Amino acid sequence: MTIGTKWLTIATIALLALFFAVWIGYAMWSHSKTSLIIHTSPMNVDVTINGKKYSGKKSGSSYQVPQGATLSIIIHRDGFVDRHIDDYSVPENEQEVHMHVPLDPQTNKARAVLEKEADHREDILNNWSSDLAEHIEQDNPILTELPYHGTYVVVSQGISVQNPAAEGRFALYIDLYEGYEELGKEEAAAFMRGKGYNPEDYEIIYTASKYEGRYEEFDDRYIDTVQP
Amino acid sequence: MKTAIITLMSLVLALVILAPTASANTIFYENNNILYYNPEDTQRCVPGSSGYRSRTSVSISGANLPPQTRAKLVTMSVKTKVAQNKSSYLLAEQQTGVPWVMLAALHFREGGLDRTKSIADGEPITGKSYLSMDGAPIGANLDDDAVFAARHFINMAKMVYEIDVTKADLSTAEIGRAFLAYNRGFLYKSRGLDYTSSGYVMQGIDARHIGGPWIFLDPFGGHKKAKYLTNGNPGALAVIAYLTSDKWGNDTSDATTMMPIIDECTVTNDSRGDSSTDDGNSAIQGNIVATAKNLAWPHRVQIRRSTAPRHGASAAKSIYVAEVNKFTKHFHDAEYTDCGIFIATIMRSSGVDPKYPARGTSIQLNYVRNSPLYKTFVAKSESELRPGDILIRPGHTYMYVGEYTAPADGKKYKAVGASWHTRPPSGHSLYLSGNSSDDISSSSPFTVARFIGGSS
Repeated sequence: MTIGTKWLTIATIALLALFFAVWIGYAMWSHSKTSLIIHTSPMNVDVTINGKKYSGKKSGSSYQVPQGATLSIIIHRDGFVDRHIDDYSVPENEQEVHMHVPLDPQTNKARAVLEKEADHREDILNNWSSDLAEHIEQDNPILTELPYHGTYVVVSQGISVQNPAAEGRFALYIDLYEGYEELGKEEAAAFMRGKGYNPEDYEIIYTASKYEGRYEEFDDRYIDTVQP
Repeated sequence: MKTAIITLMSLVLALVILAPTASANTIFYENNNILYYNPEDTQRCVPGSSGYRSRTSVSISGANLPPQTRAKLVTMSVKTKVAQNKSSYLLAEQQTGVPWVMLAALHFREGGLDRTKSIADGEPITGKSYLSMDGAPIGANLDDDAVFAARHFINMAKMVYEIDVTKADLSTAEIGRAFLAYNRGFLYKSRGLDYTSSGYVMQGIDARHIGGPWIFLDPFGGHKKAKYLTNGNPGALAVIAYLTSDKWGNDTSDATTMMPIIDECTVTNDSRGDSSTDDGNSAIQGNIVATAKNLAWPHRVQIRRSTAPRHGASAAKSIYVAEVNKFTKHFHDAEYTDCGIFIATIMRSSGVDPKYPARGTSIQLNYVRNSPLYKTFVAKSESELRPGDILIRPGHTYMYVGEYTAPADGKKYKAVGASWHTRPPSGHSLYLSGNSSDDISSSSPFTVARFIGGSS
């Protein structure tokens, strides 16, 4: 082996080693990252992730974010209400996650944009809406226990009165039978505490209803009647 | 030798790991639209498990139900609900000899035919067996509950009137007394009253037993609620007469025969069918619900987002794909995941509203708001919803079907829906929110569209 050949061999091995080192490094780096794909309506928006701004991004653009990180995301477009997503937790073991974000229009020009993108709007609202319902349920497991039909009360989920438009807000509607209000309140509280929920953590709205009619159709097992 | 043992063990281990599990097979078959034999489904079929068919015949002599009684039972979707529960009643008949139709009548009286309420006592079915406050055994599920209730029924009839409810050719009087025995018959007996004086047994059986001067007979000094109640429900004999007077399933006045694509075997989940409110046709609502549940997976199904033309076809139920192809032409990509197409397919496939717009939530919202077939409103709370209600706002629509538990994940669901590009029709979470009147806003509340019938 000549000296030239020897150096060539060494250089080739070194290059290969470098290539593999870079490849392994990249694989490790990409493995710890997740592709966050943000689908938006309107189609073109500015995206800010943890203070870093990406201008003029198309719906469906991908952003490499660290797995397990907590992100603050702002979606902006002139004429629309900014959407702030705080404390978004990137899943640990997902290579790809999708987020659907509809912006609400503020101007007629913005509404015109959405009308041109009607199908796309439908897609984003559709997914955003069902994702939201799922997340709300996951974050508030009491919703899966409802409606609760007690002896004197019915507890069900409903629209918040304090802040009805706020994303994720809801209220517990406690339907009390006329004449049994106190018993109903006690029963509702006992139901919640029994399931491990604190009634004070929820916006509660009391509604009234007459007992008759509620059980008339199905539940007259407490009564015995005779025809004289 | 050692090498041979290691090789053999490795081979066995590989076979165990590589052998497809039943659930993997199921997913594979369903994803590829392969029809297959599913013993789990078969066990839930009507007739009951193991192909058991009723051997009993029960009839109420001389019964000629007044139209008011029949109308009330139709409004309460009795046949639809009984069809959904029938496999449990048949199972109990098979195990105890109590005619299934008597268990259906008992369930009607005690639990309103609600699958989540006990046949024996109307108490909630919670997944665990327990004794109710009245001492009735409550089963962990409707099958167990039916067997418990049947045994309890046998004991009560024997104890109070020495009637064997499992014998053939029960007379009307024996059937009446058996039900009276179940409903504090000892008290009636002690006062010299027979079953003909009991609303629980007789209400609605003929014109003489509708309304009238019924008085309370309360052995425990008066229940606080009693004065707030009226006993307007048909009695057990009227229910039996109703269920046995027509050839089963041929009564066009009920929804049972209005399910063109529904195999009884698939209608196993609960349809709460609360018909306590006046508007809406609950028989038709029941049909909508049954169709919706038949077309959607009961559990939530999420698929990788894609805009491929047939995306979602392999993940949706094959019956749903067939129905979409029957009722709609090709519109766009991933149409089997389109929420609007799903609702339109339910309404068209059930035969309830063939003109329901094929897709586009804004178009559909406009349609239901202007059609005399629908009553629309914004529900403030879940308690205002009835199974079969369509929830719709620009961008999304799904259907409230009442509580049920999905066998695949054991979770409770109340709604079914699809999401464009990401979910075929399947279990959907319920969340009511929003107050904005701006229809294009994401914070708009869902409009509830309830089918009320009439002519379009």
